[in-house]
Amino acid sequence: MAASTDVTPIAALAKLAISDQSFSQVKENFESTLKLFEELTRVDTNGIEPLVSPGDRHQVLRVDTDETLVERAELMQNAPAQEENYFTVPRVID
Amino acid sequence: MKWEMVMGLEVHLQLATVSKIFSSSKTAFGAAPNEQTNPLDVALPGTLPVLNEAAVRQAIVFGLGVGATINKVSRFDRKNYFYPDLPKGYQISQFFAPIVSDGVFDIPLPDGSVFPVRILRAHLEEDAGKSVHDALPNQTAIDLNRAGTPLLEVVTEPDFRTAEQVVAYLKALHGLVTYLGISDGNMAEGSMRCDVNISLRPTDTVKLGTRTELKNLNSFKFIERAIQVEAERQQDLLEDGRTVTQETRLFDPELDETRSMRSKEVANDYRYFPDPDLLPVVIDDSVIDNIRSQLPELPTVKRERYQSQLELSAYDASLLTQDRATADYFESSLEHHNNPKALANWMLGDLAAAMNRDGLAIRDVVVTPAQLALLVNRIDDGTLSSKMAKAVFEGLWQEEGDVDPIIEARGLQQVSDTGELEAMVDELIANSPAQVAQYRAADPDKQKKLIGYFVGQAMKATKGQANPQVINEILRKKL
Repeated sequence: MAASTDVTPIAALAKLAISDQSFSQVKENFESTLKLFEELTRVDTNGIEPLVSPGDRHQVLRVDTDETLVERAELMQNAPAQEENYFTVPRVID
Repeated sequence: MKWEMVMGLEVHLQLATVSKIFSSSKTAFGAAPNEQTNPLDVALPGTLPVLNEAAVRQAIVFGLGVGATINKVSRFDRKNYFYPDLPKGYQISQFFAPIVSDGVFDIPLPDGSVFPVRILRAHLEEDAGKSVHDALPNQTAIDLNRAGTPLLEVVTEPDFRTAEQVVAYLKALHGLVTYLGISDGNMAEGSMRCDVNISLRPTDTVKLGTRTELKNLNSFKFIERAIQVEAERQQDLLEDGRTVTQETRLFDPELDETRSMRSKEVANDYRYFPDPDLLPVVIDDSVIDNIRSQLPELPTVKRERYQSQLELSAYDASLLTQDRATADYFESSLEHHNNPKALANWMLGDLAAAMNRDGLAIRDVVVTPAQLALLVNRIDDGTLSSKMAKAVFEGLWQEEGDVDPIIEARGLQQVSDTGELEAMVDELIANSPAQVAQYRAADPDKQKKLIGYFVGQAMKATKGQANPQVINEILRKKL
């Protein structure tokens, strides 16, 4: 069972702000999801190869040629902020 | 207490493809911001990645180059973190099933010995975009040209004990990938980036200490210094009875120190999971065999061959095989004139000096391999003395024309015509009765010294163009 401390760091990793009011509801949903996965872990998988993807299809490869699909200005037209051909965001300093 | 450094390396190589790993945008360096992007690179909804065949092929080439296992089935996973230059919120990488694993790369050390480095794995992934902090005031500018550039991350076992070994490995790796033509290995442009995992342990112990990761070291000089500085920092902590914190650190060459990159520590949990947008990559044996049959001769094999077949010294062989362009130049010149030792001397002597002086790389040199070969040929056939050859070389370097026209134009031909030289020697003997008498009276040992006078006079008379060997023969006959 997930402890309440599990919700906070996972929310932080997902950049989710959870209000105090909704916290218990989120925690409950989260725990019921984890419970389902706990059930799955009880299935005996000894001797069974992991299923990488359903079906036996393989990745299709693309020939290495370049192509401009959309001009830059058009591509950036929906960007919330831009300047001098850059997307801009509030200053991030390492 | 005595400490031992233990290091493992992660090197990101930018692969030499025309387009990105999952999209058709260009990968060229130096374009204006965001010019090399398309809807997939900026993570617009509804786009799907399609894997670049050349990136897969180049990863296989690398794997074969270090004798590694090429995994018949590999997969792509998502590495999740938030950063403005990663618009999808995840990086596509190969975490669970890399394309290449378990290789060994033999590194030649300066003392002639070989240092084997175990390659744990090499996996394909996409690069992130670039955050520019100083382009605009109070904002961070995002350029996504680099986003989606194909990278091969090469991870070693913790096999390194000294900074010199690390640098030797990186130089050899640079040589290998440029030979294989899978990366230009340009550190300044970020085509080869290195992270060093470093820890200390008391000598004679087996258990590894806590490590730190030094990130984005972009020159051999900085890498060596960063390792020294970080090892000293860890040693001070441990000797003070304190502990090393496992973290990522940046080297600051100006302050000559490493410092913690705290911002990345928070997001240390990447929650990898298989990318549902990409199916498993399956590689047939026939593809691997085909690539294997087209591999160029590897530098280690070449170096060995230069020594055993061409009888070059280990030192010359290692210099000539350091990068592919140099080896190609040498081998091309050898096809025109089969004198490996002389050609090696010219390449590592006058040619290297001229390149050094003018700051040129072998690719930019105007003297062709055929011209250098002809120049050496003209020494070997007696047309030129080595001194004259140097002048002809200078002429070639200054683009005065081809070898023979330069010899002609600069009047550099050695006089080897026996008739002409005999007449000149006759005159010389007639004009130097005292020296001739002295020579004839001397014992054979003394004569060897005295003949020098006549050779000198003959060279003077021909303005240095007489073939000294021919002169010597004529003198000995006539005196």
